[in-house]
Amino acid sequence: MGLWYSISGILLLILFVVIGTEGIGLYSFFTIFIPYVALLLFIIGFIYRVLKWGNSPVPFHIPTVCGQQKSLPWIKADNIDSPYTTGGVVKRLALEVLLFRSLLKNEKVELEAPQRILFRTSTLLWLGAMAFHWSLLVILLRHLRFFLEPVPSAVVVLQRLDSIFQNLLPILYISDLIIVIALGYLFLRRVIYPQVKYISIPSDYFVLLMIAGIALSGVLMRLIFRVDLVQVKEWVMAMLSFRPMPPKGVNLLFYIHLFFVSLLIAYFPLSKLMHMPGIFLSPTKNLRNISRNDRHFNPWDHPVKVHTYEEYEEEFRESLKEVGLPVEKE
Amino acid sequence: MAEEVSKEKPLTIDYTPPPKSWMEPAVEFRKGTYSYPAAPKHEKYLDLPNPGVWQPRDKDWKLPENWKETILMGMKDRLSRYRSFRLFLDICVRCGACADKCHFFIGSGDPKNMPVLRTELLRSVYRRYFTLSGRIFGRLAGARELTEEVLKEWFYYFFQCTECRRCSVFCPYGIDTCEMTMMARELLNLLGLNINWIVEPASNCYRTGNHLGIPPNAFKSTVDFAIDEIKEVTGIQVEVSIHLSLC
Repeated sequence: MGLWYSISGILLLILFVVIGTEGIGLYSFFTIFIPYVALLLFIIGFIYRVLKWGNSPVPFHIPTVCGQQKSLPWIKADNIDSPYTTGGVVKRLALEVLLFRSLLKNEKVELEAPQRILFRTSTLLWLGAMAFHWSLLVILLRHLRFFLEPVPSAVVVLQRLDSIFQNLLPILYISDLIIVIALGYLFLRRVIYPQVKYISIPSDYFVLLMIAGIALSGVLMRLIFRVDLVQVKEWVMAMLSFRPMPPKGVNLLFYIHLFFVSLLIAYFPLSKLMHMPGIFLSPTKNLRNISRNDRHFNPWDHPVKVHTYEEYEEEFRESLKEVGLPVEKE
Repeated sequence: MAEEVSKEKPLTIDYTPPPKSWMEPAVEFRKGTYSYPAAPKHEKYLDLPNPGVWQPRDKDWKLPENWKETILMGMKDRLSRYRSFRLFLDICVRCGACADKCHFFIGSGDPKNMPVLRTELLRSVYRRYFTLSGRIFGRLAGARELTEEVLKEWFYYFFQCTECRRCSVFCPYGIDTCEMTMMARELLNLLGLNINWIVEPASNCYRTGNHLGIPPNAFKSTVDFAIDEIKEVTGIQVEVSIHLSLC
């Protein structure tokens, strides 16, 4: 049911853009007002959420470990799975952020017979997540060519590499192809696998569909309904210098693309997409496992009510005396 | 589903989730699948709030009048005191990597024993009362009202976690259900919804220094008995001096 809500939501949004631009001609509203507001909401919301996390202390020392802790010199410690130096933490976090190491460990449980359980290696989710996030990064970096003048040579090189197969089949960037496939997989697994479907809420589908909408409108703009990229860049530069003007030489797909991007970044701080900054602040990932070496302070320190010996003796005096144990007060 | 669980009739495991959405709180307390509530005697000894006599299978759990407010205030307080709490409630993407890593899920097939849904029981309430998207979009953003049924679900599922942290190893963000379980248990504790397996040993330790609640005279005679046994078997008279101290 959540799925249908999300799909109809997306269709309504597309309809909204079609009516807003082609229908009643609110071009400035869609190309100037909405992008500015969305960007503002994104920046404020993002900072607000991160500061909110930062304001709550980390009272306990809770790194997740799956390796030997650093103790005696002749016991080999694992500095990645149980990091005891900042370097170790950085390595583990880098492996996590760049290679999704935890997902690579993934396994799937199956009941073979009523009494027998099987643990299978399962790397499909890892593959899908890697494909999606890396191609998204490449696409974002490629878009820098609209924002920087002159275009940095690194961006040009990246673009060349990404379109290396263009001579063979004159279609699209490798990253475009991969992101569409990856999004398809990530979406389908939420629909097909009963367990994943069960845990999905409408906003999970919605975000995927929104990104898919952005990717597909972008791909179509490149392949079939071409827009004038020079004009687009002029519009971006004008926006950046706060002398906005609506772009010329663009079509409906461009408005949809832009509207969905605006919506996504405005929605970003409200949603689970905050996992991006969140992983860096996650106490189980960014602490060193040094609880035996250093004292970890609890900044608010819960007052602990203690039971004193006097109180104990008061309650058990007779019992103590009965068996001849010494008491402090007769 | 309402059958009693016994040795002759163990739970059957089926990993297919039920047709009903998890957002509808529904928990059936079958004998053998829940822990007994704490005895008021022990709760009183530890000065725990709202001690009372009740059973999970009762309809009325004898909650205090302002239970909803207490829970929400408790959540607010903990959100400001534990970064882990707020962060882990915010950043889950429901990828499902943790789902079949929990031995309670593997052994029961109950989808609410997947770490993601276990936390989602708490997260849905957090969204409804503490996040903008939950307040605006409600159910679409996975937000749920806090009701007595939700509370019963919390009691059932948050005491079905051994806090082993295996899910945290598989989670790409290291979301630790153990932290969530602790918070939920603290919240339940505010209403006097404790289990005896936790409260009685705690109260015994506090009172006598041992989890069994053995008073000093009984402890002395236990030691004396052991000394006699040793003498009988080995012929050696062991000298024991007993020093009492708490902590």
